[in-house]
Amino acid sequence: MNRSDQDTYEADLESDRILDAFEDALTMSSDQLKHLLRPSVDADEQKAFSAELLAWLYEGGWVRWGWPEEVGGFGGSATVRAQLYERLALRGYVIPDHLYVLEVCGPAVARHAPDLAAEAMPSALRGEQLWCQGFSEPEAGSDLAALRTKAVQGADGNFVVSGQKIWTSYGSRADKIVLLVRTGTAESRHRGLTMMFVDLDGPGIERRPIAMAGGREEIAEIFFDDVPVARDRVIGEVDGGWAVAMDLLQYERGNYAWMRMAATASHLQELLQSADADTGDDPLAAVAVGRAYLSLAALRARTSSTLRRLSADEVVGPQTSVDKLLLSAAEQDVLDASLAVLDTDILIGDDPHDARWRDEWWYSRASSVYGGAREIQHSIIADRILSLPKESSGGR
Amino acid sequence: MDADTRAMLAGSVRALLQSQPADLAAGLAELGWDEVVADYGATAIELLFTEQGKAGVASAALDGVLIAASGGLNPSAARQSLVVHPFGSLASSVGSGRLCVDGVVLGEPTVAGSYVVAADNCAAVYAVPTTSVAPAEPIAGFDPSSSLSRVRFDIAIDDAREHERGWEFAIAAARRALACELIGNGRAMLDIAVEHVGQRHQFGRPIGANQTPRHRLADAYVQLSAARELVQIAYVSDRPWDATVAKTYAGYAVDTTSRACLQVCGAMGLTSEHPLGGYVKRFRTLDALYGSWQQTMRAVGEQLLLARVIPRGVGV
Repeated sequence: MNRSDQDTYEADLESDRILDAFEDALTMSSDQLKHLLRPSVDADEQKAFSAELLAWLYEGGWVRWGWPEEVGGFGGSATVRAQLYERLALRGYVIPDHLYVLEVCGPAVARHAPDLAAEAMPSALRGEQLWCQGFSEPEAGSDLAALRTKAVQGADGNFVVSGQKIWTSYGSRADKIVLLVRTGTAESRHRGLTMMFVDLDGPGIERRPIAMAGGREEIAEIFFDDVPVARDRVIGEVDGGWAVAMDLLQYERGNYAWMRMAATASHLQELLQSADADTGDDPLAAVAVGRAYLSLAALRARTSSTLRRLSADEVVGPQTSVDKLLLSAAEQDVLDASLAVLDTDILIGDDPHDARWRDEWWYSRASSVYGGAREIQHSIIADRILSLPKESSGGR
Repeated sequence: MDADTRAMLAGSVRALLQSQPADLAAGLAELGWDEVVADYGATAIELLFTEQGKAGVASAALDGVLIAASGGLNPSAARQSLVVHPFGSLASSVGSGRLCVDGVVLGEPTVAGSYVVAADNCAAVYAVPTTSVAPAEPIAGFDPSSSLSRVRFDIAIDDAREHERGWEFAIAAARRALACELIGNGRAMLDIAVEHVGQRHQFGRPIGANQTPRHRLADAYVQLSAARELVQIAYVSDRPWDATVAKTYAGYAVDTTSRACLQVCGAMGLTSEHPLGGYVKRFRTLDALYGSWQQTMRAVGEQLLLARVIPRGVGV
């Protein structure tokens, strides 16, 4: 065994020890946490459940693994934290909403704005503050560099923000927003953007929840009307927002995809446990479940490689489009299998569990739209990995 | 294995495969392959089968993988054994005191040795002298260049010698090797199609500048990449379940790839002079060995519905 093998071996043993201790802690606290296994009835209860579970995870120290000490963590590798989320989900708990946003935005905030991260992250990790991510706009979805929300810098160095964001997950209930705004001219495209961290309880902010087809109000539009933002709220450089966004996007492909994988695995496991004992005799059900599991296994294998590469500080680049496509395939295959196997209950059931299946089914449809639609990912792979002729070349 | 060693070995194996040797095993022995396997284990197997897939050639190397993984035969007996592989819906079974065998062997069954047969997948493994049963029938079929022969016989179980245990792990090793070969085959098809749509022009622009061919080939790339990750997991865990998952997904990915490549290469891809057809035929053979992806995908679903729990994944 050479030195690096020895290090890996010891790191694996340490991970296993933490994961085993975590499983024991879940068992010990099962009475205290039992009510969180029930589906939440609305978005307010969903937020309360999320905050409560996160507070428990923080108190036990579980959620602090892998974050730098300056932002309230224990240091070390983030992969053990990711694996804790999988164990949590497979025990039937919903991974806290707070964490989805933190796992995407947190690493970029910690890297590009360490002082801000030291101030804001501990309360977020305790579940006291919910963040959201403000990128998309009505005219800037897949074409993010077209965004128009403006931040104008005054003589004192501080900013005034005006414009509109849309499709913001948790937007109507969040306390803070990681906001991408235009500080250059409209023609400056990706060169004139800046990332900032903005309080959502200040003056000039109006929020409207958007009711989704399934009925849940988990996303929102947010309007900014001359909202003052101090200079020290900037993440990274002024006009350097694109670099922060691209850095952040790697974690959206790595950490976020892994957490969605864990949540999707918990849905498949719930499906297996809800199905009638003789369901395996039905070839249609067996094929649907087999397909769902294969897509999930593919996603898990891929995202674990990506997590390892991210934790080794490798730049993963256009390869992350593969992860994004595998994520939407797995989510949709698993929820389609649920609909196929539990069809009648999901269609006519009025139990909260049935409603949760419906919500999850709708959410799985969003998976190939948000964060760069499936078509965008295919184009990135065609251009940057397969080096196929560009779509614009030679006409049209 | 470091990148330089890997590139060097891959080059030697590629050159050997492209020379289309009558006896691949002898050619590998000349390369000192046994030592490579002793030094690098699974990585060497993965490399050999990936290159075999890329070259689009057939060999009986799979028999060596099964026999080595079962660990029950001495080398001289191993060389005289022909494994009877399940193929599509062809399988072997035991019942009412009889051993009913139906499957394929790889390469020419000229050796006067034994057939090694796993009945009911791997509940028991038997050795049967080749001379004591009907001769194998050479198959042309969909993929003549794979040189398969069909072996069918039905004998009293007492006339078969019960063989070594551990065949479940042998089949897992075979599935991992087949998954590697499938991925190599799929990568070769994808390379052919990428080249084709970049070169051929219609309406004044390359075919590959149109969105549909671009997206179909990107989709194939995604699935082949995932298949590669699943094979790595299967080698790390050494579990038969992960080997089945890897081979099933690889078959699914290469099916997607062959459909996409056949479509974008148009009529040229359907001709005998175009290289694509040979890979498509070989893919069908590889997929059918140890159960097609559609058969094993259903089996995976049945097992999960029975177990009612998802098996724990390998640590990150």
